[in-house]
Amino acid sequence: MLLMGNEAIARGIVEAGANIAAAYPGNPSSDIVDALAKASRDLSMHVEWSVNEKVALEVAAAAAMTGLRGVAAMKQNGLNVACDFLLNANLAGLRGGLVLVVCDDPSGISSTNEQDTRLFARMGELPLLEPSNFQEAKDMVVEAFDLSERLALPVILHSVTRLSHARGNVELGPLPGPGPKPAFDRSHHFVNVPAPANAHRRLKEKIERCRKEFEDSPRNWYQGPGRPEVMLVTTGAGLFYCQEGVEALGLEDRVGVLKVATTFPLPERFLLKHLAEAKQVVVVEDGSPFLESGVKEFCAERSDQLPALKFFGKADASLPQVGELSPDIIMSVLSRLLDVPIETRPDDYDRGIQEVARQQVPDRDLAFCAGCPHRATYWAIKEALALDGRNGFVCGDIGCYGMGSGPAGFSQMDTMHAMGSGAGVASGMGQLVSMGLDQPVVAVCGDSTFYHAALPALINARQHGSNFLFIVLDNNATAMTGFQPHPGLGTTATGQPAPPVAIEDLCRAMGYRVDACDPYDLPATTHAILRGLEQEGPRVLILKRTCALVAAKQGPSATRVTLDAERCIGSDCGCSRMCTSVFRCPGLAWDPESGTARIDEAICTGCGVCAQICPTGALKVEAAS
Amino acid sequence: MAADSFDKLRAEVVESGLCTGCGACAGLCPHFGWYQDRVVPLHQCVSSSGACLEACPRVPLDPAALVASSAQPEFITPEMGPVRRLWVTRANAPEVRDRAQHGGTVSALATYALDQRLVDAWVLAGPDGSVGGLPRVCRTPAEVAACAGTRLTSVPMVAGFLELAARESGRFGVVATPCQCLALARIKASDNPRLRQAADKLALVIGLFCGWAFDRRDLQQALSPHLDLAAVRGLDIPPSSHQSLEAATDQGYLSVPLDGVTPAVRSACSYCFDMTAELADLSVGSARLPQGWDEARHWNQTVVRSQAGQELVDGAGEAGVLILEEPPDGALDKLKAAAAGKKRTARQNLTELSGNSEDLIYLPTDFDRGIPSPGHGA
Repeated sequence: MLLMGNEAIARGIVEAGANIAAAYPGNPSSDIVDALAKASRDLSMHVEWSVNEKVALEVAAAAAMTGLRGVAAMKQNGLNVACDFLLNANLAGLRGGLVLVVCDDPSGISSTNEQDTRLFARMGELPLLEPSNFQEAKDMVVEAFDLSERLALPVILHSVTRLSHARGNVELGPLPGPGPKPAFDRSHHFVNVPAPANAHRRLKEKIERCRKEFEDSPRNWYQGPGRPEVMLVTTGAGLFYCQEGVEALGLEDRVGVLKVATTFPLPERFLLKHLAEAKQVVVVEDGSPFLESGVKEFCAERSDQLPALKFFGKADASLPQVGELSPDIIMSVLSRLLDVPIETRPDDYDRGIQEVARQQVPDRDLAFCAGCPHRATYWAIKEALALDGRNGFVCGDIGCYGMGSGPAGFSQMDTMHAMGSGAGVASGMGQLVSMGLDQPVVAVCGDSTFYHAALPALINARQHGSNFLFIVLDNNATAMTGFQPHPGLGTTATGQPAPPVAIEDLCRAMGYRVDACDPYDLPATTHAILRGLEQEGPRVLILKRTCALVAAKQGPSATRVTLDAERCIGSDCGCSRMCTSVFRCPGLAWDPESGTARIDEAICTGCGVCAQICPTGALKVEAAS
Repeated sequence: MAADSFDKLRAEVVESGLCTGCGACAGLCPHFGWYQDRVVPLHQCVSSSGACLEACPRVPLDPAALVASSAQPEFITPEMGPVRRLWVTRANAPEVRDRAQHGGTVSALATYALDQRLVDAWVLAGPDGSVGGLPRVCRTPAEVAACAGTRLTSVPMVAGFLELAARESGRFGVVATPCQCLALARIKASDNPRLRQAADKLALVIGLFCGWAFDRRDLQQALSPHLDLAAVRGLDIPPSSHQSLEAATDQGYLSVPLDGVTPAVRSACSYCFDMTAELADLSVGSARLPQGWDEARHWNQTVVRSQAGQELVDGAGEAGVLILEEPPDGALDKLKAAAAGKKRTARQNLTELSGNSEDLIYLPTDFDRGIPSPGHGA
């Protein structure tokens, strides 16, 4: 069956008989629980979108403390959120199986950072498995659960975008029978105190046992000639690049590929056996030189049993130290080391492409959808901060509205770090007034982000009297990651109704003054923000308007927007193309022949926000027929 | 390469502290906006010669030339622009005077002009519930009355007028401070079609004497230790010898020392040369009478400048809605001296700003040509 890597992982979770699957959405991991949620009707598994990754891991761990199997899935940042639990659970042990699937995003294509989570395995001294293809993505999940139960340790299964989001053939395995009934054994405490060092000693013993198991893992293998001139040591998606690179250059007789799937703890006998045949070693892996450091460390320890090896990799910048790898990169390294001429891309081809791009490919910034309430919100924020005149600034957060830091949101977001950091940083900024900060502080936070991480910072701000305006951008969705449910929506991953937890109730309970406004109403929203900037003390402004994509699924728009070309003054003084060149909703287009704007009816959602900006009333909102 | 209009206004008027908040640019274009007493550039515009640049009263211009092009030469004075006649005036009706800042002259004239259909509506500065104001379109005596009283912070009246002119046809009047009168005069003198369509609807401009305006935020900060701002019904600045600001509250008048509030003066006002609103049809201010402020506070001085202004004032006098009295001896000379004093201050402050006595930034070096220098030892 052709499966996406994440679907293969999900299938592995099902075949392993997992009882709980919990996650917080985050690219490139979201599809795992998306798939399980869809399948959940036919499963006895509890599948949930948890409020954040730490809770997701805790929820999954509950299964693994009662004799059952739990799995949590997340992206790299999610593991940062969950790691406090992980770095206690490693010592506290388990009675059952716990697998943590973490999907990294090399190059940070859809992330706030670029980060390699494999280092957590080393830090937490936890078994780390890295599948290299779609079949392994499924099969190694089942193996991970078995390993976890045997060792009574959480096991980390690591993936990257190119595995999670690519597709390949997978042979399915059998579905499991019914599992045990959960029970908590009170004679076995999962508590590390009063002497965590003792638990730590036990962890070290478990990791040694794990290492011995990994020695015989069929997931680690060598492919290539004996005594290769270059040995590529690789893991995870690196295998794709290595195999493609070797094949493209026809170097199968000169270059060997040593695949390591169990990258912590390293299988020492296996490495010794194969590295003894090597001369030049190139370690190929996305992310940090994790495997590279581990192998070099191992070689240093066994230097008396190994030939003098020459290492190439990230440490010596043979491979780029940031960003994703590619077959081209591997080919360049091999070409250099083996003196095989190759031009992965001729210079004039490159120049030709740049020229065509420059002339014919329009600049496509990241943009909000037509009708997105965030465009209206950032327009109102931009105008309000300018009209307020005190150089106010915005501490921001993560979600679609994170694009507010760029042209999509008129560059109105000034800080963005982790989930909930907008509120946290604003809580600190709001203390600087007493030290002479005379600029008003604003924070923006999405609805899903609010539940995930903003609450502690808001409580903190209230307790310490921090002065800032907290704006919640409530579009009734966790949109950026694919519309997974959150606690405000009154539904769960499996479509069951759930009592909604309302943002305004939480804010009021924390002692905040709460106002609300519809961002589609620009003058009202601008004034609400201006008033909010002038107020003091803890205050929240909730800007509520459903995501345009969600609204489109709910039914056709009640309104449509038309443009009266006679009234449009286009690029003349008094407008200068406000709608198409300043506001820039994709539903508006410029017609150079008539010298006016026009509505792109295929894209326009009829929200009518542009009509409030048009200085001549050329843009009009009507009832849709 | 010439900077674009938007960039010019942003850098040379707003960011340099010259902006008076008249609202001309904001009334012409959504790239600018206004709120309370602030007019701000909002969104980048790339027009190279926008109407905003033609209307702004703080870009390089020649006010004396503008006066000369619109007034009869025999009336023009170098100190205070065209003066056909100076009167001491007040509204006849006591209920008008009761609501007024001083003599109720503006209220009486505005109401009379509506009654006589000289204008379809006035743009007046109405109260905003705090220390500022909002431009309001007034079509009835009651609406005029609701705007009685001085606003001590800038109100973007030119934006109010331009927004009205863009929406409606008709003949309109504006009561405006000197900087706003200057913007309106530039609009009237322009041949830019966008400005002409508004200028053609401008029938009357009543100017107000003005020494300076307060910055709203700074004023609120300066006053709040002394007063509960919510209880203030009106503010006034008596003659400078009093060195005070007066607040009318429910409990009566309260005096605040002026040096406590002068730091709150709007910075742009330091560069203003026009105390008496030279580019209006008539100008109205508070009176100075030999009887002293307790009497003078209930009267106005009114300078008639244009034919239309004369017809309005004479008509209101004949109709009995406005009381016209001869000014006391020397009143015009005193007024001229005060007006000339403001021009001197403007020259000093502009020289300090530019660092060069030949560079008065937005005014020509001979903007005050014709004024005799003050006598030695005077």
